[in-house]
Amino acid sequence: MADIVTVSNLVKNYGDLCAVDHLSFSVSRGEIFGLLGPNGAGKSTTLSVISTLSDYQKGEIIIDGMRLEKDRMGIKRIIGMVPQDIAVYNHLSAIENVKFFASLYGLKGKKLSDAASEALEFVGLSDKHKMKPKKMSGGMRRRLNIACGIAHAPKLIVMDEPTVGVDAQSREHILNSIRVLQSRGATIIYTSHYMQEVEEICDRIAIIDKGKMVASGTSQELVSLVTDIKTFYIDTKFGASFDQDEFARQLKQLPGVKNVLIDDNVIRIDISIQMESITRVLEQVISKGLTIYNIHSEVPNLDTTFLTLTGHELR
Amino acid sequence: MPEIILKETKEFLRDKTYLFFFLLFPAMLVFLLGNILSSQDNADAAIGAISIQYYVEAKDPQSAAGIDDFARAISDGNTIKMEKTEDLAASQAAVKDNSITAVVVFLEPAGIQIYEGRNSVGNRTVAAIMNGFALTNKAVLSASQISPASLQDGGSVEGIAADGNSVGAISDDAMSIDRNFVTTKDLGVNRTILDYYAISMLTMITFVSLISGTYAFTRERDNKTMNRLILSPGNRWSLYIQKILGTIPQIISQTIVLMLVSVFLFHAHYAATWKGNLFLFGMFFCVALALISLGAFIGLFLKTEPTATLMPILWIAMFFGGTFTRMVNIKEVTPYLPNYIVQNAAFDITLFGRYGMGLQVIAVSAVLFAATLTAGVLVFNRKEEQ
Repeated sequence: MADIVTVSNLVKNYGDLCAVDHLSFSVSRGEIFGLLGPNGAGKSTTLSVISTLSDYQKGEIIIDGMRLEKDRMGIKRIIGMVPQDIAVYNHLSAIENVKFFASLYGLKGKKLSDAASEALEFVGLSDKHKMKPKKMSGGMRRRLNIACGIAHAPKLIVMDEPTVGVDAQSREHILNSIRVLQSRGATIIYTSHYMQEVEEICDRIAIIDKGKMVASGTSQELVSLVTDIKTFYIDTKFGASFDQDEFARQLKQLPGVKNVLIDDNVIRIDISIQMESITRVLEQVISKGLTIYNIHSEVPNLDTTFLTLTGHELR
Repeated sequence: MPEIILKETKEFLRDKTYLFFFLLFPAMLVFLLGNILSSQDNADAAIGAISIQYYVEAKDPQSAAGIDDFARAISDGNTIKMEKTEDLAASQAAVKDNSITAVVVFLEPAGIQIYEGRNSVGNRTVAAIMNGFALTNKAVLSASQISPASLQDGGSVEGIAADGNSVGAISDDAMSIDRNFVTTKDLGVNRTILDYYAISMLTMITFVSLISGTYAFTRERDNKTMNRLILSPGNRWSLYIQKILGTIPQIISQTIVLMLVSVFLFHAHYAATWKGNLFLFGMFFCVALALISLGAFIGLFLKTEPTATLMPILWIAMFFGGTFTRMVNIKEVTPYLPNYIVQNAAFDITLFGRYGMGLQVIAVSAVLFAATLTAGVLVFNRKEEQ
């Protein structure tokens, strides 16, 4: 998959403050690329530079084969921006808003009308096309915000926290829409404070902090950077004569098992992710005539990973 | 370019606050100030009722009859009342206790003595009336000595007053009570105080355009739509110019609506000719465009709410510039205020059909527009939105 965005050694200063410090990453064509970072990490500044809104001091940015410093106008034509703030006109109806923004990209006449209608349909607002934003719910306004950014069918869509403050139904609609956009060939750069969302829809994720790249990769790769342990909890019932300590020792000797703790009819067992040795553990439990009532696992998630890598929570 | 102009027009026409402040409110003010408050600007009301008693020392019956004729002629039964008195002491006492304005004594053999009361405006009015009487007598006397023929049939002395409405003629039987020696002819528009407010309100909305210019960019920032506009494939300078030009429909509609409502609904007058009105519209259009451009430039830096910041400044300028009442005129301040200058240029066009000052206003507006537009483009090109 060829890269549609390549950022190399990007430096962006605001006076004495270095907002982006020699940041490098690339985004493959057709993928959903997540950009994660705490407040002030430099992710919005990075998006702002990529989308041609801000200048930068050093580095090189190539988007769809065009160098940013040389072909700003060409890049503008292929980018669609869905900003974090709802950027629509309250005195214009939904369809007028979408039409206006799409018209700035040169769409006219029937092509413009079709594109606007399609964008509204895509975000599920076609029946509200005459409604003015001030009369819409928060979720509907968010969806309109997306429609305004995608009506001109951009190759690269930059979405800055598009689900902030929306209800679960609208969030689901938005996330599904993003997947559909991807299936139609668009590349999406996505930021969100909702870690679960990022894990759910992003193919690859970059974690940045203080303007620097901390880590990047798939969700699994990022998690494995901080730990390779998976914890299982097995609910059972021990008889009064059952030697729990001996059984714990036996389990510990199994390959991949790092730690075993038995407490109140629950066996907590830490196993190396790579070894995938839970089968042997279960065989051992069954061989001792124990009944398994419930089993569940806990994997270190992106939240834990983020915390470990950056030293602070996302918000 | 048409997209942004169309969008700006739609927003303007759908914003009830804008419609009220730029279309309805100025038209209402023309009506309110012109009708309800006009009595305070009326000359009659300012001078008040003039009550004169006169005493004639002259023994010559012809002279006494001439004076009586004059007194009857100027008494309009409403504002000016001139009555004969035989008791000079009683009349002087009436002046002292302010029951009448003044006592005029026609001295023998010649001369006029005025006993003034406490009303200084009334005193000046009485003096003006009597000076006019004396000068008219003097003119007739001179004519009778130098050219008696000019006072015969057919001969007359004529003059046109500065307002162009009255024609004075002193003829052979000028002093006869059977003949009016002052007649009036309507040579143009019959002006009222509404005409003053029609111009001053036009000036007001034109200067308030400064604020709407400021909103051109601050509103995009508040709507968070500025970044979307900047992201679109177009040059920043082009976007800046489009935003300024996008206000043209607003300028045209606010000026035209006010002019039409003032003329057809409230019966105010602007210029007497189409050419004059067109020129007047053009002048206000140019001023509004320049002010919008200036406002937009200010809006690039303004961090506070534009109306709250600029309205007090504009209001003070309009108050001292005679927008709300012509009674406010401070000679060290008023003549230098831009709104006063524009207003005066407008009066020059509408009252006298003179275009010189209007052309100067247009020229200054053009320079201001070009300068602020250039500066705005340069700043906007370099400015980084957050």
